[in-house]
Amino acid sequence: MAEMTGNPEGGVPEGGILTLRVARYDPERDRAARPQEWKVKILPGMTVLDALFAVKEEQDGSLAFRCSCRMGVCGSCGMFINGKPRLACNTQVSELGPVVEVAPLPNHDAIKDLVPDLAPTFHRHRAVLPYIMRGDEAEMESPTREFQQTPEELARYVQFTYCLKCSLCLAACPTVGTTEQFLGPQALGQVYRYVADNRDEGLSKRAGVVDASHGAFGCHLAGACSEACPKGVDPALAIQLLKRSLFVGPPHRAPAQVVPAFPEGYRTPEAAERPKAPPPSV
Amino acid sequence: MRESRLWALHLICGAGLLVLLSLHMGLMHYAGILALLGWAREPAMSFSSVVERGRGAAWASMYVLLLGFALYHGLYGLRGVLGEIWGTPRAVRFINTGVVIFGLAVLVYGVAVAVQAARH
Repeated sequence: MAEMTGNPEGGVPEGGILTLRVARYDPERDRAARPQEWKVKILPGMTVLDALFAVKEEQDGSLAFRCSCRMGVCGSCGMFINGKPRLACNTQVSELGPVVEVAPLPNHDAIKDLVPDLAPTFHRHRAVLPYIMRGDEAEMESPTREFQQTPEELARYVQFTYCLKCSLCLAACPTVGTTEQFLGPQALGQVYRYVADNRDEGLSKRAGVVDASHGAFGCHLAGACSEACPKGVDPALAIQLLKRSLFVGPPHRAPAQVVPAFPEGYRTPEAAERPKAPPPSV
Repeated sequence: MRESRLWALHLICGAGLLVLLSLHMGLMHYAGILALLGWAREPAMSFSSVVERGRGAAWASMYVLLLGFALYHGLYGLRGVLGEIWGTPRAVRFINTGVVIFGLAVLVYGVAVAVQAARH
């Protein structure tokens, strides 16, 4: 795909007219993406997603894009906007200039128009066993009490839990672009998220997947993934910390303990003093 | 072997190369600087110097180490590049086998030359 060029020289005031240039692609009709332009009136606080909705509702109902929450939480609306992978719902058009160019995420197949095929992303994510694994499987399957974790232990990995699975990091990663087998920053970042969690004991099981040339050691440390991440997850850092963990083990020395259960009927003094709820009136 | 261990070896060989190449550069190409530091010796490329180096077990060991470090470091990098171009499991197996066979063949030949030189 040809490189999209944005206009970094400031935006357009509210009430102005924005040119929205979208890479259209219909697999039943097109061999390759073709650009199409629309003019959209800029409203206060308008995001790229709002502009796309304005086009879909008022000018061309056939335009396809994916979105869900519209508030930067679900990660569905990842697109290539003015040459950078971004969330459309999180990007103000006023910051982009009079021409906004939108294309589907690079390093992904387009299903239609701006809808990328995220199946490979989720396949990679699934391949790294992204869940807590413990030796005491009985406690994991049928927990009796909670696992003990200090705020400091939480702080070791909490940054990496904010991953939306939006695939922007994969779209930005040059290694994903050249090496299909590379697991990519999203999956590898999530491996470190679990490795650094002291409730987890699954590093040796995950090492079979990530301690490979197309795993953590395939990362060229371009850092583009961290720049693209809309939630500040910093997958590049996670991958480097993962490499260290593969050498010297996880950052926690001992797995989290299960909090000892209170005796039957035990109530803390504070709970005993707490007033009881009134009886139901209905 | 796991990639982390291969990668660690790659780093160790890189560090080893740095030390041995510094020694090589100092002794072979910066004799003037060594002379300034008071470590002047015979010219490195004179006949007697070459013969002396060839016969010494320490020098032979250094040559072998330098060859081993350079081979591993270089071939690991080459394997990485080729693996990114042809990344299918079958191609990776082929590349790994080829690199190991080539590396071992060159290493054996290099060791044989160094040992032969040390005997004369």
